[in-house]
Amino acid sequence: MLAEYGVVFAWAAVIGVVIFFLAAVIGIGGGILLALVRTSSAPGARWVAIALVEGVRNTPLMVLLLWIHYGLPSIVPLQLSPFQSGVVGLGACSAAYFSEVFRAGIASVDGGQRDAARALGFSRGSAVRRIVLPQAIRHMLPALTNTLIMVWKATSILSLLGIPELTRVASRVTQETARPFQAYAIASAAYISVSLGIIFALRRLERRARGKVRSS
Amino acid sequence: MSLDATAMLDALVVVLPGLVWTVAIAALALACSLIVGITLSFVRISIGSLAGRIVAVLTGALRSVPELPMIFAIYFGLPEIGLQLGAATCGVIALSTIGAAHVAEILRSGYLAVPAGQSEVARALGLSIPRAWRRVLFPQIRRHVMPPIVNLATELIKSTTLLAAIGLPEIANRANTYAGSSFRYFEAFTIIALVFIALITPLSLWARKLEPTPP
Repeated sequence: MLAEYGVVFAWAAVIGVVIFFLAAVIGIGGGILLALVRTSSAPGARWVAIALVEGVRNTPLMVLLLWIHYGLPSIVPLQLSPFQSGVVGLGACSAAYFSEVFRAGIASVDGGQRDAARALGFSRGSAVRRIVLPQAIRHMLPALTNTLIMVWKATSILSLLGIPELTRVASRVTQETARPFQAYAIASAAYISVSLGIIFALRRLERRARGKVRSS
Repeated sequence: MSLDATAMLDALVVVLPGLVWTVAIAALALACSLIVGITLSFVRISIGSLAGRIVAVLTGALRSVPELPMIFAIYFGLPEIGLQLGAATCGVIALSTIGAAHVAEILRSGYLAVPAGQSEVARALGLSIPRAWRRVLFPQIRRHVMPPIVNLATELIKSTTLLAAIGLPEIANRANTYAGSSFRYFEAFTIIALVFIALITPLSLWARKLEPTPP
């Protein structure tokens, strides 16, 4: 076995998880913003948001990364490091996917709920915050888990920019030891473990969300 | 450097032959995923025993493994056991191994989405088991599984770009070669992004149209 490479793989996993967190934060923030613009009544902004989301969603992440890291600098003076390009690319990609999750979640709450809240004297903002969002979040937890796992898996594509995360390290270890199956099996086990972690974290969140609703 | 329209056209001419690889591999991988995935989902649904549980664990694990390490493992790993396969073949094997796990999960949740009473009523009305499946269960399952299957097809098309990393001359690989020799990076990568948007947007619109509207 490749026991002597344990530390190398552990570090690679840490780098991957850091990128995952950064991209997820950008993705969730950007996704909320895009979903709000998309459901807003300003037609110009809405179409821009739709074009952005669909354009990014329908482009492979690898192409997006090549475009950001090698394409953009040849036309504007903006050379990002591989790490920056990776986080920006993966963040943009996940923002597009998260915006779809949020849009569907908000759409899943019956419009009558907001009307009723408004009729009961809630302001428009607090009707969304207190009535619509708590229900929407419960509906979208499964999709949220899937999207988070997708973002985590997609960190592997950042290896093509040379970022030393799990896949990159596995190919380096393969070159050094000529044991491809073992190297990629270790990397895969790490990918699966973090995915399980994401699933359990979200399941706990779900249970808490459900508990809160029942007690109120 | 500014945007060069003729370079964009040049890039398009260079990358387009790669589209054959992209489409062929995505289509083959989808076909294999469906065949294996359907088999797996039957094992998981009908045999509630050890085999079903093994399939559940296996598909669950495979769905959390990214495509790229799977591609590398197969491309660099199989020669170790004396099996020398081309990049295209390895690509189809890798993508459909993961794809099959997704299909199995999609079919299982489609099957669970149909209330159990449907099958009981069909049997009570005198339909044979195969007939109940064909006329009652399958049409309802199909409505649930078609949108995610079409989405899987779009994911497979996008994943074919990863095969550029093992030297398959598909679109991204050709764009990279063109960009490297002409220094027209922006044009080359913009054009392939547009090619993918043109290829995938109709599919994702179709998937959205197929989605059952909530009552």
